[in-house]
Amino acid sequence: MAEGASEAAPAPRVRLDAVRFVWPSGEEILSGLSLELAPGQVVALVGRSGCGKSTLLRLAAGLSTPTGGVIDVGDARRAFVFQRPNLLPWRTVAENVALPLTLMGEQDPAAVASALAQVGLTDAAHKLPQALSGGMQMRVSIARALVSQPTLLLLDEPFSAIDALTRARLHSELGQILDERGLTTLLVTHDLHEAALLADRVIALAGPPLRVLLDVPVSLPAPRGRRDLYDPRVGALVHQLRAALDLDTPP
Amino acid sequence: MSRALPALIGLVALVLWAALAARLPEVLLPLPIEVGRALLKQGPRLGEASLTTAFAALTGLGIAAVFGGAAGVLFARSPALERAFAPYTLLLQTVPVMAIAPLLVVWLGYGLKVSVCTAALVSFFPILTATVAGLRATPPDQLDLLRLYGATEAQTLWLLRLPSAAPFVFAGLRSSAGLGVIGAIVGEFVGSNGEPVSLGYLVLRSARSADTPLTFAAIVASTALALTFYATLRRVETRLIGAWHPGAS
Repeated sequence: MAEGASEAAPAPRVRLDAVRFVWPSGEEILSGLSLELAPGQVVALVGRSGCGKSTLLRLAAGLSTPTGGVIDVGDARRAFVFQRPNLLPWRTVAENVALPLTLMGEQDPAAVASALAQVGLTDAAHKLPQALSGGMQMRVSIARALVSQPTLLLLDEPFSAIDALTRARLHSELGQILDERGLTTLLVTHDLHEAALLADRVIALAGPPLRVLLDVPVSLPAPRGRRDLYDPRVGALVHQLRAALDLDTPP
Repeated sequence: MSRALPALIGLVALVLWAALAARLPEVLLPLPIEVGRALLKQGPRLGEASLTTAFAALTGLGIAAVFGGAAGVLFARSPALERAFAPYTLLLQTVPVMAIAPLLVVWLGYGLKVSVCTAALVSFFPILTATVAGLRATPPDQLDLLRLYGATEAQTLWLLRLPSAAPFVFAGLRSSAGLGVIGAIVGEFVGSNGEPVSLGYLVLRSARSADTPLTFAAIVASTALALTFYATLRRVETRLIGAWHPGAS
């Protein structure tokens, strides 16, 4: 998926080596997990709630510190898309998108405009977030993540609180952005179809402590659209993941 | 109906007041019409007194906002500092201002300084606690967002914590607005010699001279003052944060 990203900084290789994470309560979430993401690779992490995949994402983002092991993201510029849009309600859409630049002491109205155009929200630049629908807010959140020209994108169930129609549209938009920018991406999701549509590789996880149940490549050309959902290869992948996660058995 | 109900309740209260006052001597409870007459007759004096009390209450509120807000920022940043000063800040809240006021007269002499001080003292605590609560209520995801982009502590405070705390701070200011008027009047009971004339002084003097209609008129003016402060702050709040904070619109 790295084509078209020649002008941007190179996407990093991400390496997790024997990473441990233990909460102060003593609960061990990661006990020596090792994982590697190739530059520009989009990897989806799927697993039951509470297995520790969001913790893994926070560790990769530098928002939590591992108890042991090594997380090497090189000199990646990280961006994080949260489960909720997480916009600052007192800032306009454009100001929200510009926030990472403001924090880095940069001003680049052209970059803000370009990020907003990429998610189709140019006309909403001067609105406050509450004037937007949930789907539009999530697009602002994606624009904010893209504005700082990240090389490592971390997405924590970004579409879980969005209706099915909006989600379908966002899948297509995000798929296109990932294809154009060639970012190394870690996507945490519960939606196996979403994983199949967006990722180059899907890792099924269980825990805690977090362990890999299945690590499979997605063998469909990118970017993918809704019609690919009916591709037998997607069906087979989802079936394989369901079996690995034991989703047909109640927890 | 919802708009008419408060007016109806007020009207019923007025009728009950009039009915009760008709059976009692005026020195105990004057008729509402007598209070109205006192308001008209003493209008210029009450206006001047209201301005004096408003000045004392507003200055006190301003001092409390600056010091309460600054202490709130420090306490929210350092729980150890908050624990160290908690007993003393609580002291400000629990010691009756009426008991402190005579001491203030001894220290500061008669005049506005006493009522400014008492207004500041009673306004301080709600602003402090509201600021601390507001700063600590910053959503963790938003803090993570700023941390992700390497925000400094000053950037986090200025760009996130303070705006996020604004609804709490306004709630504290609104509580303190009414308290500030009460504090100023208590200070005037003890520390005003009538130069300049103030609402506290008028209440005290009129009560002592059994001019109950004027006492009531001064009480009405005090209430109007507190309500004006409250409504003005509410308006400022709506103007500043109403666009994004539903509770303020």
